[in-house]
Amino acid sequence: MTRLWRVRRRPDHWATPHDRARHRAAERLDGPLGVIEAAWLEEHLAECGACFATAQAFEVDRMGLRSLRDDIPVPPRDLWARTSAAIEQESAGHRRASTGAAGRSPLAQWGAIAGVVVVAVVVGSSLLQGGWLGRAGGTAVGPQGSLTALLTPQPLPSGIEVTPGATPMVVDAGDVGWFDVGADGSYAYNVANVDKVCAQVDQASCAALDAGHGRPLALSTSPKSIITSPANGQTVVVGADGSGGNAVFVVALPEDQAASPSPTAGADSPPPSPTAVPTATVATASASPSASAPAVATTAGPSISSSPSPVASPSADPSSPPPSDPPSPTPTSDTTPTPTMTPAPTAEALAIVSGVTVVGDAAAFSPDGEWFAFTARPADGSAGPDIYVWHVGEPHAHAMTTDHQSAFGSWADGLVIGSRPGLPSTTAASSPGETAGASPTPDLQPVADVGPVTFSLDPSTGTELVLPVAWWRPAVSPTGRRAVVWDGSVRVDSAGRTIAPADGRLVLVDWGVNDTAPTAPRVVSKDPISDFTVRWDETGSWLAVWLADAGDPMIGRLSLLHLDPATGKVDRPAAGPQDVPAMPGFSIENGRLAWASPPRQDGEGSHVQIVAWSVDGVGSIESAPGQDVVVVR
Amino acid sequence: MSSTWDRDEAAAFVETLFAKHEREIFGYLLRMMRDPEVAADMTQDAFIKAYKHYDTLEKPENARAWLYQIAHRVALDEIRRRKIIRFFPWTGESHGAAPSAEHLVMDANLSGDMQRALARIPERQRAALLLGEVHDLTGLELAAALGVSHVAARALLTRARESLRQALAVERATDAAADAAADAAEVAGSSRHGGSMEPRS
Repeated sequence: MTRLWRVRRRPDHWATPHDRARHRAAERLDGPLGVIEAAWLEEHLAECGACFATAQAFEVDRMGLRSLRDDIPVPPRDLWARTSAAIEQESAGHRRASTGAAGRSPLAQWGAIAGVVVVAVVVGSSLLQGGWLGRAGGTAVGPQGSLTALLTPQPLPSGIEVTPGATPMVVDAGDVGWFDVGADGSYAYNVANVDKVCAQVDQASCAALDAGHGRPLALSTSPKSIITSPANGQTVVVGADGSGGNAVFVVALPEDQAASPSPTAGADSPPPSPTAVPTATVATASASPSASAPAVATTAGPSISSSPSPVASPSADPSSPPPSDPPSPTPTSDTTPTPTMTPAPTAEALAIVSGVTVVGDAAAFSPDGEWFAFTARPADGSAGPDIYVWHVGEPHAHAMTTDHQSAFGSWADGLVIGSRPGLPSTTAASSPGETAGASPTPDLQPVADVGPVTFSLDPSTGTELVLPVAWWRPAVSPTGRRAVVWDGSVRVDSAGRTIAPADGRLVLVDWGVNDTAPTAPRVVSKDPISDFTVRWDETGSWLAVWLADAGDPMIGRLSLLHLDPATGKVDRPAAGPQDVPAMPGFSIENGRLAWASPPRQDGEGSHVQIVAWSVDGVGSIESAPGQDVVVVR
Repeated sequence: MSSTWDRDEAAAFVETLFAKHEREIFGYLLRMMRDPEVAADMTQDAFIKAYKHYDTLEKPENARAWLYQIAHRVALDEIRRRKIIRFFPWTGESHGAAPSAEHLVMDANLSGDMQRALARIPERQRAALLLGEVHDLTGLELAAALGVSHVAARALLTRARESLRQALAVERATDAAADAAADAAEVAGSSRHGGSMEPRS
C-alpha cells in the first residue's frame, strides 16, 4: 500500500497548512507519505499543538475501530439452512428452464426438499393469524426434528454450526403451568416443560407448545389469578365467588404433570382415567371450619391497634372496629361462595378468605414460601383496600392494615412492602416514624392526587415502619437492591375504594442500601397508567411490566425488560415482547416469561405465550388456543 | 457456468465460502445496517448472489474481496432502496415490532461512541473504514470491494477518518452533556427522597 496510495493533490492545494497537516495525518495511516510530505508534516506537527492532537486522535480512533475486531457478531445459526435452501431453489429454477435435471447431487436433492418445506412453512404461516407470534398456535407445522434434519442434509464444512439446536433453540426454562377450560366445561390444569423454543427468525416453523393432556380439576369458581409457592408446592387461587367478589383458596395441584402425559394420546383418546390422575389434596386443612363466621379474619394483636401511624391516619380512632366486622351483607356459610368440593379429580381447597374483592395482581408468596400477601377490599364496596397476609398452615388470611387505603407492593427482606395515599401536601410532612402496629382507619373523605406513603410490615409481629420515600406499590427485586415504583401522586376515588396512579411515572429506583454508587431513577414508563404489575425473575436481572389498558383493565400490554445489575441501566430487549397485548397474569422465572394473550374477536381463545432467553439468544413458543386461560405464576 | 455440473460446483464453492466468511460478512453487514435481521437476510442474499455470479470470480484467491464486494453492493442497494443511511442507535427503547433474536447481544457488542459515530458518517465512508480497519482488507482488496480505484479508495479512507474524528467529538460532547444531566438529576433525586432507604426514626 505505498505507491498505489499516492495522492495526486499538490501540497499547495490546501486552503491552510493545518488542513494539509490534518489530511496528511489521516492519510499516513494507510501508507507512508512521500518523503517531502512526511518531512513537512513532522515539522508542522512539532509546531502546531492542535494539529498534533488531531494526528493523535486519528491514531486513537483507528485503535478504537480495530477494537471492534474483537466483537465478532454471531449470525443466526440457521442461516446456512436458509441460504442453502434458497440456493437450491435458484438452482432448481435454472434446471427447470434448461434441458433436464440429470446429475443432481445429494445436496441438491436435500436442498430441494428443504426449499419446498421452507416455502410451505412460510406460505402456511402467512395464512395464519393471531397471537404475538403472528400465527395460530394450534397448528403444528410438523416435528421440529424432522424439519431440522431436512435443513441439514449433509455434514457442513468445519466452522459452521447448523445443529438441531439452532431451531428449535434449546433452553432450560422449566415448567409452565396454566389453567383453561376443557371440552367438558371444567377447568384443566396444563403443564408443559419448556426445553426448546423457536428462534425469532424461524417462527414460521415453530410447533405449538405441547402440554400433553390437561389434567381436569373441578373448580367451581373461575380462577382470576393462580400463584404457586416457591417453597412448598402449595397454590393459591383467586377466583370469583359468584356474588361479584372473590374467594381466595389454597389448593395443591397435581404433581408430575409434565412427566406423565400420555405420549400417544391424540384427539380421540379417552380422557385419563381417574386412577391415572393424582387427586389434588387439601393443602393445609379441611375447608374452612369457620365458614359460618365472618370469612375475613383480622389480626387482633395488641401491636396492631396500640400505636396508630400519625402519617397515614391522623384522624383514626383506635377504638374503631376492625374490618373483621363483616362487610354488609355479612358473608356466611350460606351466602359466601366457597370452592366446591367435587368428585375426583378435584382440587380440594382451603378457603382462606372470601367476600372480598382482590385488588390488582400483585399477590405473592414471600420468598421462603411461609407467607402469602395480597390486597383486597370488601366485596360489597363498603370500604377501600387493605393488605392481607396468610401464614401457611393457618386457616385464614388476616388483614394487616385497617385503614382501607393500603396496597401490597411486594416482598423485601421478609417484610411486606406496602403503600397508601398520604395526607394532602400541607400536612404530609408531619413526622412519620415507626408505628408498632397497623394504622387505624382514616376518614374516607375524597383525597385527590396525593403523594403515597411507603411502609413495611412485619407479617409476624404486625410492626409497621414508614419508609422515607414516597413511592406507590414498590416492586422490589429479589436482590433487594432495586425496585420499580410509581413515583408520583395517586388518586383516591370519591368513595375511597379505589386508588390509582395519577400524575407521575413508573421508574426503576435504588432500593435499600446498595454497595454501589447510587443511580438516577430510570424511567420505565412515563405514560398515564391506570394500573400496573411488575414482576422480577429470581435473578433480579429480568423483569416484566404489565400496564393495564385504560378502557379495559382486564387487558393490558406486557413488556420484558433487562436490568444491568452493574449500572442499573434498563434495556428493552427488542427480541422480547414489548407492549404486546396480554391478560393480567404472567409468570417470569427460569429464563422465560409466560403470559396469556387476549382472546381474539373471532372467537379463538387465548394462547399461552412463552418467550425464553439463553446465551444463544431469545426464542418463543405458544400453546394451542384455549378458553379462559390463566397462567400459573 | 451454464451446465448443471458447474452449478453444483458453484454450490459447493459457495458452501465452502460460507464456512470461511459467513461471520465476517454478517458482521460487516450488521455494522452497516445496525439491524441483525436485516443483516442476516442480506448475508443470505450476498451468498446467493455469489452463487449466481460465480462465473465472475476470476481468481479463487480473490474470493474474499469478491465476496465483500458483493456484500457491499447488497448493502448499498438496500440502503438506497430503503432510503436509510443511518444506524439505529440503541437508546434503550424498542425499535419496533420485528426484533431479531440476537438483538440484545448485538447491541451489547455494537454500543458505544464508536458505533454511534460511525452511524453519523456517510455510508461509503463507513464502509471504507469498516472494511479497511475492522475487516482488515488490504488496499487492493478494499479498492476491489468498494469498486473504485486504489487512489479513490485511499482518498475515501482519508475523508472517512476525518469524518469519524468529528463525529466522535460530537458523540463525546453529547455523552458529557448527558452525564452532567444525569448527575444533576441524581442530586435532585437524592434531595427529594432524602437519601437512603433507612427507616425514619
